[in-house]
Amino acid sequence: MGVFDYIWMGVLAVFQGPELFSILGIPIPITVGMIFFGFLLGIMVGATPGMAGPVAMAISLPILISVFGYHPDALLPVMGFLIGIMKGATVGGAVPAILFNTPGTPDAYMTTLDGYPMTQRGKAKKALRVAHLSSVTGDTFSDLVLFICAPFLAILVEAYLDLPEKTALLILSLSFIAAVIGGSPAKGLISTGLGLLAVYVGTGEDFYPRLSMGSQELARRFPIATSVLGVLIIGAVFKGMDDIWRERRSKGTVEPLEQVGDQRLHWADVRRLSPYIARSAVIGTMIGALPGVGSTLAATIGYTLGKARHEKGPDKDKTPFGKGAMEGIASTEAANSSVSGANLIPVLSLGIPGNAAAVFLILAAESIGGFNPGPSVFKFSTDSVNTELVAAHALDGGHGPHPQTCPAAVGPVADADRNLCAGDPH
Amino acid sequence: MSSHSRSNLITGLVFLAFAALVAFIWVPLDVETGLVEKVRRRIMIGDALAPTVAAFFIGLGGLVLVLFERKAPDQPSVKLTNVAFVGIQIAILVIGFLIMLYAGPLAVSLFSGDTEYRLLRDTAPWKYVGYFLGGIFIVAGLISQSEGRLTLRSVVIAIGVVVALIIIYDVPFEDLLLPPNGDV
Repeated sequence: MGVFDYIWMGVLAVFQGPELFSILGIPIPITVGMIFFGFLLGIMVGATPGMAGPVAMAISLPILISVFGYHPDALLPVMGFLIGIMKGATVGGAVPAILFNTPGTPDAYMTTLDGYPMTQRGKAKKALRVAHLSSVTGDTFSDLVLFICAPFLAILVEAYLDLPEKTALLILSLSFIAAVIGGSPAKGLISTGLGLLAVYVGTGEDFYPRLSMGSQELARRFPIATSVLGVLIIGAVFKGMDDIWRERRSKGTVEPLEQVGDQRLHWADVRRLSPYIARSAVIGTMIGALPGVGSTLAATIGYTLGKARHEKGPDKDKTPFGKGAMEGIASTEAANSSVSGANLIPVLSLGIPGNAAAVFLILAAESIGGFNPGPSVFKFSTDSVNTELVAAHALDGGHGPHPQTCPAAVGPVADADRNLCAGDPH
Repeated sequence: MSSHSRSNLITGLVFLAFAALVAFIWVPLDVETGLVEKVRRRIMIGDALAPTVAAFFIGLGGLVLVLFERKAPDQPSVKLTNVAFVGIQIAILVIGFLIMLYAGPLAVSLFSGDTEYRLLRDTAPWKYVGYFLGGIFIVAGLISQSEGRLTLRSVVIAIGVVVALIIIYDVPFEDLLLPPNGDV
């Protein structure tokens, strides 16, 4: 069996699976249906501040397993649903970031920097369209890379990234936080230090959980996802309330934001955004392929490089980054969305999760059985069929059906269209 | 915003002191192993190293804030209105949590005779009383604070929010307790 036979078998496994229901006599395979529902749920969850993708995955997993049971046939529908949530949440996370200055997911934080200023200028719809276009493009690119390169990338990552390189990568990400977040490097450093201190509580090699002050609660550590979202969301909510309160005190009333001017995304805009989207998609895919680093770093690097490019550009009367530049939204969204496809490379091939969402995929695979993420997955045996590789390609291919397959990504009814199309096969 | 604000200086000093507290008091007293450990002539990283590095980051940030960013423009300053805002917010949250904690037991003692609330904490409708009333108070209170008036609409929104949260978190799960029922 060659590489393409495996890919083809994977695709068939998705589309020839048991029938969920049929529309006009055309059977809808259960895996495609589950991806569609997962994707819709993901968008809703991502758009709700305080409910990140991992939360929805954590709630769904036990329910899914109790519905589908513990046998290998359950693998594709369950993983499809979870991957649908993972991707939908990234797309949905941009919505509250743009409309309310509150990132729905941590990786959408950088989207607030330009998205919310655009809303304040009355360009919310346009900002949302830019976010969706970039997200969809980045994600498609990442999926293609996963589909084609996963086996080779897996071998490369394994061969060249040892502990020193991974440590260097982590130091790089810490420096990025200090340099990029907010206007003050000193406050960035302090935030980095406080974050590090918080994750060290209750951990360590020794028998006694360090910094726990003898308390059982502290010894159980701070739950990371909850803490991160709490800091980001509660901070943003209180800041927003304070702003409204102050505005009312100074003016007597709160002015609703009016949507003004041309909200459509023109071909010229797409052309202007495409270098930013392309650069961020490549960055996001590369970062996604590395084990242990997630979409927040990709978003940060994508945004920073986009900003540097934007400042050097020839156009003098452009909107700067941080003041409502479309390019800022595009750079961030393309980067964080393109992580999600490539992120499955370390998950499937090494069994190392790149982010919290991937942890649930591994958990699902291990609970259901029949698929053990790890180096054995990508062994192309020619004499016998490697069923794990078929499953891996089924997952690659299965998580492809996404809004990107819809051509009307920039039209006025794009949102509704794309959601409807999300369940369609390629 | 005021250019004469000293908030960066004060923040920097506070974090310098905090970093010193972490590095010289909290870490030595609350971590069993040192910065590095020597086990069978091999040097290993001790549990104290990572938190000390974190303290170093915090201290460095504080130092940069004091030395180089002391006179940075656009520093926020704390005014009486900010204090009032935070004060009202804390009051709403505290009262809301108290209602959440005590409304259930009160309802049980008024309408259910001699049964203890602890025994009914997973029984409808008693388990919803505290969460429902306290949640409505918090949500409606915070909306009213932002709007500067109490409207029927904010109360209706609050009821909707609390009911939606109950439907999401309580109805599908048999072994999940709504607040405050896990702590009574």
